[in-house]
Amino acid sequence: MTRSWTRAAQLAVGVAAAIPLTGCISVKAPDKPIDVNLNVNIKQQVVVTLQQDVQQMIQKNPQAFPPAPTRP
Amino acid sequence: MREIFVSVAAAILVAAPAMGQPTAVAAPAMGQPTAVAQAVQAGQVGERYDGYMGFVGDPSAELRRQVSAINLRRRNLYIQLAERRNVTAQLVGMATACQLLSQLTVGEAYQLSDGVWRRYSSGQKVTLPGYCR
Repeated sequence: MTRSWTRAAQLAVGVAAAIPLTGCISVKAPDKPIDVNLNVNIKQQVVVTLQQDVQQMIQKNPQAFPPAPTRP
Repeated sequence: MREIFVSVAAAILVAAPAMGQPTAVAAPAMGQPTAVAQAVQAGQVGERYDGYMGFVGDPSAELRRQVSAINLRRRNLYIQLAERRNVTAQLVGMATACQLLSQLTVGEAYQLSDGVWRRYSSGQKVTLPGYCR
């Protein structure tokens, strides 16, 4: 008699413990990834950080970048 | 010797804006291939969105050779800078194009990523690629 009560209690605890778990599983990552935008941003960031180097490269190499008066 | 160079450089700087066709005169002194300078002014050769020069029409053999030489120099420079900054040479070319396309002079031809050649006219706003700032 007591054994079956204990058994029932155990079962109830088990079920009670499982309910919150099923709730957790429904949390999903968003379907639409944001890495498309991220690529553009990274590209832009690199281009921006390169600007100073690029400017120096253009100024120091007039043979590769025809200078003034074509490009004043 | 140094003084001579300075005075020649000064003369070019003074003469360039005043004269109508300064490119042909100034170009050899700057070490710039003349055919390219003339072709740029005529809009037969222009800057591309990828950081290299391109032909609008069918170029002469000499023009093709000179532009190829310029592009080869650029490619080497892009590779060097790319290695220093740990990025791709392609990206360096694109960053360079951002600057070159924002410094166009009137009459110059330029090509954006849609592949269409346009001529830069005065006061015109060049729509730079989205990654340019």
